[in-house]
Amino acid sequence: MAADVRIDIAAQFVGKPAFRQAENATFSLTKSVKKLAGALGIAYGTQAVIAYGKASAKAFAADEAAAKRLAGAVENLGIGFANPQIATFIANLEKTAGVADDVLRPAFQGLLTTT
Amino acid sequence: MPTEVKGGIELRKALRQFTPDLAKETQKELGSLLKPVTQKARGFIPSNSPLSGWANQGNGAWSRVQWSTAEAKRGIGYKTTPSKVNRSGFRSLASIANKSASGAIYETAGRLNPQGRPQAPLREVVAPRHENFGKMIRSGTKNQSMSNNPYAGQQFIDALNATGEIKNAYRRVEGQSGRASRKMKGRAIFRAWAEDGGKTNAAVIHAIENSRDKFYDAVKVK
Repeated sequence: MAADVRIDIAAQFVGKPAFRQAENATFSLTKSVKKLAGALGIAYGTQAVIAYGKASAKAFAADEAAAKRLAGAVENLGIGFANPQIATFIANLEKTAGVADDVLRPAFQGLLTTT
Repeated sequence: MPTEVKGGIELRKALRQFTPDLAKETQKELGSLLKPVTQKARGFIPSNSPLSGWANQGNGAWSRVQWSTAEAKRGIGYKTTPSKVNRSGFRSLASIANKSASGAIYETAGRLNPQGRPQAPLREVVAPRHENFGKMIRSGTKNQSMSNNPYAGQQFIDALNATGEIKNAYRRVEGQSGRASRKMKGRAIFRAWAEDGGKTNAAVIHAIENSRDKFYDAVKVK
């Protein structure tokens, strides 16, 4: 009741509390996203995280395309039935040799087509 | 609607930080401007209870708001420090308030319902385990009167009006849009503010502007 029984003199608009809370929440969210980016070893800020996301999506698409290309080449050679074994072989080679599959696949494809 | 100022809060902070003496002087000046209004408002508080029974000691719902002339007068005061942010996002640099419970009732009773609140309807209690099961009781919202006397609100407000009238201190600024505030009506502080006619408000703004100019002069690099 007492809150209403008051005359305010010379008021100043400082922003609604709800808006300020929303602003603070956004600020702390941005901060935690930055921390997450730091933990991933990526330099800094939301932009970097978005860029990282985009880059990983691109890499995944390229990897998938390489796998398809290899499968297509194997099909063309008339040995499509060997695709699962080739995939297992490349996966095992990746583990033992420590070379990424996106390097192994084109090399294996080259070997297949030339021999 | 209070006059809106810009940078008042920041000015106060700067005054306190760089020219503490000027800050104190400004506070004092604002106090000296607001004091006459509060004294006038205290003068509108009746010396005796507006209703004979209101001042009687009791232990019912009204015991918390029992009438006390001294308390009602003491509850009227001014503040020259900024208020908290209200729901609309405003902070006031100074304010006049009527803080006591009985004083606030005297101030505002009848400003929303000049003829008193409508009586709440009688309803039968249907909850089987309720102590009043089967009886008719008066049940309503806070906007309805629970009294069995249908004229209770009217009689209460008439008794208060006999000691002091409600005045509206709201002034619509030229070109102002939006709904008019309904919370600037009252018998003590609002009446004093309305009768002041905006002179104190203008003086407060002028004092703030003066202190701003003095501050600029004081911190000017020579």
